[in-house]
Amino acid sequence: MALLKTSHFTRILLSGGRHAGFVRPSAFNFASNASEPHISKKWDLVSSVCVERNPIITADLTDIENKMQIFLSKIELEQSKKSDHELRKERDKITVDALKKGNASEADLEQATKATAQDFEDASQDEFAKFTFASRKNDPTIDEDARNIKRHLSKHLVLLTQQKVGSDSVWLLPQSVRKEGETMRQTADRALVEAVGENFRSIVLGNAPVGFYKYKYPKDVRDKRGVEGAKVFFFKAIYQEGEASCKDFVWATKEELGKKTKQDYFKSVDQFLLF
Amino acid sequence: MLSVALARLSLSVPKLAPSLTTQCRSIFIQSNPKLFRSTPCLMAEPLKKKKRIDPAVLRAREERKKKKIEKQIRRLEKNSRQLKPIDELEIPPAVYDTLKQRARKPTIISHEEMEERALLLKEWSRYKMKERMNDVQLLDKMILSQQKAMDELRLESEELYQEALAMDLNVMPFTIKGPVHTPPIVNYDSPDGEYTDITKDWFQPLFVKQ
Repeated sequence: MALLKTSHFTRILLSGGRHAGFVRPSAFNFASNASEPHISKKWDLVSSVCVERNPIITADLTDIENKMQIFLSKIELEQSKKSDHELRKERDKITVDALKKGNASEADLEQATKATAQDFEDASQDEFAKFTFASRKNDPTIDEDARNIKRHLSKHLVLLTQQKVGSDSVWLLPQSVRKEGETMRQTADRALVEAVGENFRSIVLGNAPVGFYKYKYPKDVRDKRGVEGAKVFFFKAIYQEGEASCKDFVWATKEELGKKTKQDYFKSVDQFLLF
Repeated sequence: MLSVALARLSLSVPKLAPSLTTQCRSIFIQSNPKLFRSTPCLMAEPLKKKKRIDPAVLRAREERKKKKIEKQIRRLEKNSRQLKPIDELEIPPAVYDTLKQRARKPTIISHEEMEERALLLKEWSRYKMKERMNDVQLLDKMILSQQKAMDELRLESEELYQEALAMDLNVMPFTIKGPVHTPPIVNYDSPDGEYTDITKDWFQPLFVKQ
């Protein structure tokens, strides 16, 4: 019989309210199904990997953030002192005015022939203008191509594959059933390799699963195999580099993930997504 | 005059060899003999013979002196290269002397502008508070999700649970680079050229494998 232990985390801020103690949902289940022994039901253990491609560029600033940025730069200018470059510019201006009026000394003339601070500034600006950065905005075709890793540069993307579950093919995170003698983490690694091949490099963050989803098999499968259903344990991974060599895969944003997968599956996945 | 001095000498001192008396000379012959008497330097060590020093040896000596001074300069420079703690930092004297020149004309902010700024700051604090609350909720949701997964795994099998609890030593040390403002340029020809950093990295692993 598995031991029931109190969790480490005792405070939750859920929708502004504070709970005095952490309530474990599984504790309730156990109490309600006290008549049914838990051990007799057999479940398939499945490891699933959520590979995340982190954003490549920063997101656009919101309205308030833009206003704040302008305000802060104004404040910075007002409270600053003049730099060496600014002083030099002022001095040059004075010598130029003196030259124009005609009451300039030999030293001023000499200085005027040298490069002024304004010249230096203009040259720097020209050099900066000549350098072209890569565009922050993608071609719309790249954003629409669901298999392209470079779509939606400022968003988090999740790898979805189409797998055969039972009789129908379903869009879900790459997963595979645990074999004898494997740990859940090893199953997760194997699931990833089976789904996307060897060239795909990602770091799985830790041995512990981050999410949980449970589903029951249809009745005929249940009776045939004697297994109640499958318990899916999600692992989190971060994409490093490489190509996914898979027939049906998609780099999905959160909205697309919500549309392509089942409601309760998405609900479980959403629990551990940080975006 | 001279004979009187000599006579005096012969009276006070027993009759010495003529060399001693002749050696006593008065400095001021024309003036008053009561003044100085001097003898040449007697009973001193004879001066050493100045040997010719090999120019190579001389040069080596100079080199050594130069190197010593250079070493001291390097040591002082190394001190200046180390970063000072922030508490010890001061305004550089060149800037401090010209602070009056560097002052800007105080900008006159209208009443409307000041009101706008105050309102913007309030709006910003509200925005940031909401953002923070969202972040905290996200993190709590995620912790809850992991806790549930671990509880379920433990219900399934204690062995799998213990294996999931074990630390993954391959993950640490973990580095990740954040998003940039513009995406990397494809096939960028760096003006400094391409180079591979082959400096050896000696570091202590965070967790020692047992």
